[in-house]
Amino acid sequence: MRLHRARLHPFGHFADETFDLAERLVVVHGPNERGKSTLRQAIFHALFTPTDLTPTRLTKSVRPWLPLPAGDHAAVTLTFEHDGKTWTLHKRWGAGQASELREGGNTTGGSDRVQASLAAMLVHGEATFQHVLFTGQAELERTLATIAQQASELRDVRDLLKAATSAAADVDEQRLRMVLEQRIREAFSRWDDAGGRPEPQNGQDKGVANRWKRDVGHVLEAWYAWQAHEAGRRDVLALEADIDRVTTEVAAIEQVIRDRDVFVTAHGGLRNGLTERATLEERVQRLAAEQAALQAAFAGWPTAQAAVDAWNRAAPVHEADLVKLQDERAAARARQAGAATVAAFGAIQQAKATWEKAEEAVAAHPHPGDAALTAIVRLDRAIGDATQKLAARTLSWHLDAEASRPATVVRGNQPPEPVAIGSEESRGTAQGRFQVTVDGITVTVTSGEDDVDALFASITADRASLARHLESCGATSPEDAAAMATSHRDHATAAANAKQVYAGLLQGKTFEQWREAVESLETLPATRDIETLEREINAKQKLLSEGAAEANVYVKAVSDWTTLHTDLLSLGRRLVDVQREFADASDKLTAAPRVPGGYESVEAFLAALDEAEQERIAARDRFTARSDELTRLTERLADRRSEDLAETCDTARRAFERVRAKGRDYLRIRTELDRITAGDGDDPLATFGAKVTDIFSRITGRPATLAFDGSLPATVERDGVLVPHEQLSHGAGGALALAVRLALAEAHLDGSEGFVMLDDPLVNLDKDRMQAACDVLRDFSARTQVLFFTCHDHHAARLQQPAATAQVPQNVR
Amino acid sequence: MTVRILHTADNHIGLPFGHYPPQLRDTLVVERFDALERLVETANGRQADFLVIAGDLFDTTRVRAQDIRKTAGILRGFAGTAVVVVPGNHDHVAGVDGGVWKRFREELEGAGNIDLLDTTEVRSYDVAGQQVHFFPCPCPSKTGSTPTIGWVADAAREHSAGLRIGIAHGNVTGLGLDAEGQYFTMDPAALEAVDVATWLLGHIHVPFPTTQAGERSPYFMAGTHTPDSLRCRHPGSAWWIECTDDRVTRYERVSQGRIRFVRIERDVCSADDVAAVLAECRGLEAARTILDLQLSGRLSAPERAALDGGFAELRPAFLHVSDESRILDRIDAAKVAELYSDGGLAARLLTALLADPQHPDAATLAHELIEEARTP
Repeated sequence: MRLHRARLHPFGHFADETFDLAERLVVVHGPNERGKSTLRQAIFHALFTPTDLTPTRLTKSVRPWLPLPAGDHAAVTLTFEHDGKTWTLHKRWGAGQASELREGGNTTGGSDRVQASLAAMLVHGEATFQHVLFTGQAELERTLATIAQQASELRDVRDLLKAATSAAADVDEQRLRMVLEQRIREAFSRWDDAGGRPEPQNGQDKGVANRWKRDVGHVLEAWYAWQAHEAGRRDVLALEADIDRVTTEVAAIEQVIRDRDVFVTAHGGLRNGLTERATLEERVQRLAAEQAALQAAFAGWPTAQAAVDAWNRAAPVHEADLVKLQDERAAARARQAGAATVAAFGAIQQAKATWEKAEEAVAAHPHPGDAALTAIVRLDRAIGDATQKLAARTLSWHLDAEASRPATVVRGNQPPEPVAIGSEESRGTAQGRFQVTVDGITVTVTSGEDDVDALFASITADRASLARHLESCGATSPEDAAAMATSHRDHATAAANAKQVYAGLLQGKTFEQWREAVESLETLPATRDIETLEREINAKQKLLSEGAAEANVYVKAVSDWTTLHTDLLSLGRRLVDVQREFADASDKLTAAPRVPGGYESVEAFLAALDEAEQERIAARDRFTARSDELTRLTERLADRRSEDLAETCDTARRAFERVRAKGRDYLRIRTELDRITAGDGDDPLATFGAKVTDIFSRITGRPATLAFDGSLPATVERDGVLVPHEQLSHGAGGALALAVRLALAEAHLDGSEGFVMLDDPLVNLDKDRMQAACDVLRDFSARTQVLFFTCHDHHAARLQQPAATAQVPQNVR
Repeated sequence: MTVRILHTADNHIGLPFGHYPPQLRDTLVVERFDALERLVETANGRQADFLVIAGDLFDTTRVRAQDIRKTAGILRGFAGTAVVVVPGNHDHVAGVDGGVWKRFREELEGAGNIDLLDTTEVRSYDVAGQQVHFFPCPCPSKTGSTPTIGWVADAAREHSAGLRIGIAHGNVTGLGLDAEGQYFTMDPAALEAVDVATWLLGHIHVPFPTTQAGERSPYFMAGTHTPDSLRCRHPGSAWWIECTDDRVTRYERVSQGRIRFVRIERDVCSADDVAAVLAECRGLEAARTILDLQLSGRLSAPERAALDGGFAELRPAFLHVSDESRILDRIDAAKVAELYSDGGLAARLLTALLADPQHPDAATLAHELIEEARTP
């Protein structure tokens, strides 16, 4: 949108005034109080203030612009170009309020529709125009003031931008986040929203029974309140269940009491009659038994006495027979035992003969004597050793002579023997020594160095000694002597064994005792066999035993009867008495009350009655205890009802859900805030810093670098000097503010057609900077229409050079 | 021959209403007697043969003696064949001697036509030659997982001649919520399987069938005779039931409640919504209405002023008003455009949040935060 003309008819102190605004840079020039602000307000209200205002809103927004002293309406007609077409907007507030928007032959009427059309054309809302595109002098100054105030929070270009936007109807992200995070903390402190439970403390559950005490957020607070109600409701439910349980028990106990009451009431009266009946039953039973016993005694006494007498007669006969049988059995056993004695004696005799023969054999084979036998063995070994030595010294000899001549040779220790030498071959062997004597010449040859003669002498002496020993013991050789010793030992062993057998058979008796025993057997009488005798003895003993037992029974019976009744007559009298008593008791029993059905006996019934009475007592005790418990439970429950508490819980739950939903709304806001700020890298306002720097450098006439990081919202570096923005001169500060505002406006318009209104933005600039700023504004107006309001002639003059000026009428007030 | 029955239940005589202010509490307590009395008058006016009370005539087993006396006095006014009273779970039959029913019996001394059926035994009546058999299923305790109707099937077969009607107290699957299954919940199929003309039930304070009138139903839930809490949305209920031979031939809902509990729970987001809520409130019989407001939503300042003003005017007329409403100041696109720079953080944040239907309050809350953040 680009403005062409504004007609105020009337508006404020203008009765009917038209301003030509067709140029891209319009300088509205005039002294103070001449209506520059009125024109600005007229344009603003024409664009944004509906005409169908309530009286209140009319008073608040447009009334200051109704003509004094008593104007009832204000009107503005704006002509502007939009989208290549020329539009006329007419608005009248107050009396005869009207809104109309015309383009060519088309007219839109009505406040709402006109506002809707305007909104579409203006792109930006009222706030954007009011705070960004329409900049009053005070607002311009506040831009920098805001930046200065928020110096500690501004970190980079975006912060500066935000500070600028904050000053112009936006919010500072950091402050918004601070407030938001506080709300989130207040809502969710100590609450684990994902888990739907309080945060644990060192692994400990912090439920309603173990609550967090401090820093409890609204959500947890509501949850605790809800859970406390739920716990209360559970308590009441448990109490109600307990009451149900105890009530049921009480009812059951009451039933037991009622049942027992009925039983005891119905049958309690039978107790005496049934007690008598029990006595009668016992008496009848006892009398019946006694009667039977008396009858048996009366019938059995004579028989028993006869039996006792008979036994007393028979028993001695049987006992004598038994003695005889036992004697015969003893004889039979002795005879049976004698056969064995005879056989044993035969064996003894045979063993005795064997032993005596063995002793004879021992005598026939004497031992050579241990000393002789030892000497024989020793001598035989010495002779053998000497002989072996001589055998090792055997000499072979051969005598030969040319002429035959006699000679004598001695071989070993053999006697000399004559031999003829030369006539025949003379040769032989000799042991140890060979001696030949020929012609008086004796030649002796010995083998080895030992004394051969001594060897021959020991052999001779040993053989002589051996011969003596052999002779002394009657042996023919050493082997014979050894055989004699062996034979003697064998026979001696056999004799000892035979003697042992003999002694064993004697069994400690002497041979003569055995002989006498055998001889005495021949005098025993003849008997029957033992088996027959045993059988007869057993039969007799059984007869005696059974007869005695039977007789004893009778004896005892007779004895008892005698003790009890003295005699049979007395017994008969007692029997008659008992029979009469039995008949009486039986009659009474028949008349006694009977046991109720289902009971086998009076005892069983009375036991059941006793049990019922005991149970009734016990049930009453239980009833008292349970009733007390029920009273306690009921008092604890008081007027509480789980149904009511369910409603209370539901209310508390709804309260919790509301608080949690609000908390989650805060989380949702944070999510959206994060998303928006994360995407701000692509925002057209990102070039804001560069734009501000460019404008500032142009206005101040020196290249400058504006830094938007660090501790200050902006530092200005010029000629290598870094100046914090708050230390800038008033003029430089004004230049920076203007640069920020223009950059802000450009960023907001973002290439779309629009206009800005600036109210004396150059007052703080020196002449050079003012001129430079004018150039900047002219350049800016090439892209965006600028309505420049000023009361300074030189500002207007500087701007008027290439631009048109809309002069505020001097005559209008 | 038509047998006429007025069926009620859940009268909860003695309900203390302890969470209400004393004066209102007294009103509510008295209303339960008055409504019962009106019910008896209705029964007499229509010449009912039976007034059947299917459980929870009393609120507990420990109702004050004077309340029992007063109740007995009201029931004595019934002119028909019999008032048939069956204990429910709140005034269950098991109890200590001296409980509500012993006292009730004492109060009935000489009243020949009030029968307390507190055992599972058939009670038969002769109504002008028509045999009527009631099969009562009294509750043995306040809670219980097993319904007490099991005995009726066999007993009904033994009384095949005449009109057979079951009376029980407990939840019915599908009618009421009993997630924990502790209120003698009955299966509809099990009820229908029994050879009786119908079942007269109590426990759920809401009537069944849902129609005002009809010709037959396998069972009837009486609904409380006069509303007793905000859960009770109906004006009080009882059933007028006519039976011919051995079946129900007509029924009709009867209402004798004078007090209404009304909860208005609604999102209010426009002037129209405000007008609708106020109109609804104006349409209520305020002097007999306990109103609970649970409004939510977002309103502009004028809309809110209209709502508050409207309620300020209406509130005194109501019997009682409780208000848990939470209405936020509305922010919308126009307001955002009016207040904040286009493209600025505030405008973008609010615009995005306004487009989020899942969090309808988020934009309003964000607006509050932004304004707070902008406050120096």
